[in-house]
Amino acid sequence: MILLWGLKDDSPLQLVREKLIEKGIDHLFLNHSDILETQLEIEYSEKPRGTLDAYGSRYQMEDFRAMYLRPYDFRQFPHFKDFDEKSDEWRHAITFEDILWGYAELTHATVLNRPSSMLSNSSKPYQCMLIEKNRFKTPETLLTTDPKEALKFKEENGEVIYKSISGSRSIVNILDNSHLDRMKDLRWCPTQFQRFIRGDNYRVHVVGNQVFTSRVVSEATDYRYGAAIYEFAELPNVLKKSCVSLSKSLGLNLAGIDLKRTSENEWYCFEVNPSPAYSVYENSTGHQISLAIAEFLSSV
Amino acid sequence: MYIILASQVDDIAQELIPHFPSRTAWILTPADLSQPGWSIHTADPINFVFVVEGESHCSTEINGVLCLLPCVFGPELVQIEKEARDYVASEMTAFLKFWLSTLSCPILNPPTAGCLSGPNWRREQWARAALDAGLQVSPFIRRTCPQCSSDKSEGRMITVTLIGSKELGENVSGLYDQVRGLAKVAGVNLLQVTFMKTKRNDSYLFYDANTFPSLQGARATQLIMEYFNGG
Repeated sequence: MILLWGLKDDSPLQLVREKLIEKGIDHLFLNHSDILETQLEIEYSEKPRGTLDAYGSRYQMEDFRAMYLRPYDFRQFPHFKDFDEKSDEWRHAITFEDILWGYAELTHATVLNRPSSMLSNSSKPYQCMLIEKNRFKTPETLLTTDPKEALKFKEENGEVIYKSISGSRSIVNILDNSHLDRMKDLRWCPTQFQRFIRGDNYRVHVVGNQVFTSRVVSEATDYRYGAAIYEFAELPNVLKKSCVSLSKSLGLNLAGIDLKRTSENEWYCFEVNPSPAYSVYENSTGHQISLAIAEFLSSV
Repeated sequence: MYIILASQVDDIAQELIPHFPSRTAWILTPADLSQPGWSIHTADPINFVFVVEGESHCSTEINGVLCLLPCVFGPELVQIEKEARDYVASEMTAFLKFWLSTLSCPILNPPTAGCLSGPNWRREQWARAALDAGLQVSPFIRRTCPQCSSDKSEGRMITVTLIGSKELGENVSGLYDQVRGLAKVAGVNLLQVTFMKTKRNDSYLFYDANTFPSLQGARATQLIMEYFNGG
């Protein structure tokens, strides 16, 4: 049996669920929103084993041979708005999540993705070190609290962007004269500056050994916040193999890799997303990513 | 120069300082990251400039780092606007994770993807590592029901702390070898392990572990220094 954990209106999860239903593959969709009505118990001795009580049934955890986990922040659920961190409801939700993530870390089942494998994304320069070890190019980068260093970096590199260092989402912006007044605020926290790489954006989804490439056509510096069209594309074989290898080296069975190709045909890698929201790419390009995920989960 | 990376409210860090040779140990807190002067080029991380206790230094001056912070906590950042503290804490944690990863000096403990100092493991993950290291493990249950978790064994608890390859504290035959084995599996050099001595047959079962042991006194500092100096 396959476990899907997340919300009903999460497209990446629901696309996979539809494929599992079409193929008649046994699975349980555990709605994260139903967390207060679910119980979990895991015994840790030689091998972890336990039970999940949900929707009037008891499931043996060892019977889940694969899992696709896309939970959200339970504090944002409408039915949690009346509870605070001291409530039994919060304690139950936090405990449930912690137990399930702990089990996901240790189970022999296939997991998309194990919690520890996803953590490199919490620090972009840290993850870039791992990306470079896999022989991908990454842009010249400065982390600083010093306005003079930032301006010197801009002078040396021409166009420069700034973005968050952590996994917190930020809008990527080009550093220009309109920012000069705010440069003094750099002292409060290290900020990440990178040489802006001009070229074509690509998002590559890796599922196991399969690679699905989308070219992003956009005028925006950060296409996620501007108009963008996603087109079906193919990578050169050597690059496909590198993407698979990179994902595996990070311990990821599912990954969304951000690449850029320059006019000189140089390829840069910016980030590996361990929980990619692939659905918009699938819907635009026809790539069968959800089918690949469903087949990957059911192949074990 | 030795760096102790710690919260500004960490009294233990302050208490360790007098046991280091004079003026060799510096406490670096998250407040230091809100100072102008930090600069690191990822292409040349070795020669970066950092700020500690208000002074600029080069990374090449660092001979060892003792990391007492799992991450930066938002509430500590009193110098930052309240609404931005959690975000800034994430940024500082991400920055420190990278910075510590570039250092070539000895670090207690080296950062991992999940924590600034060693792996941020749950009890069950430590238990698995202990099994992999050949230790006997006390079984336990984790559950969401109101009674919470339970342990399946009972007995007296004994704690063993390892700094580098040396023991700090109570010396019980055979346990330090087990702790060294677990430390090797976990990739750490600073580790505290709790064992349970069973009533049934007087054996010691692994109970739990953590990478933030209590470090107090001259002996702890002596072992830290030995580790930094290759001992």
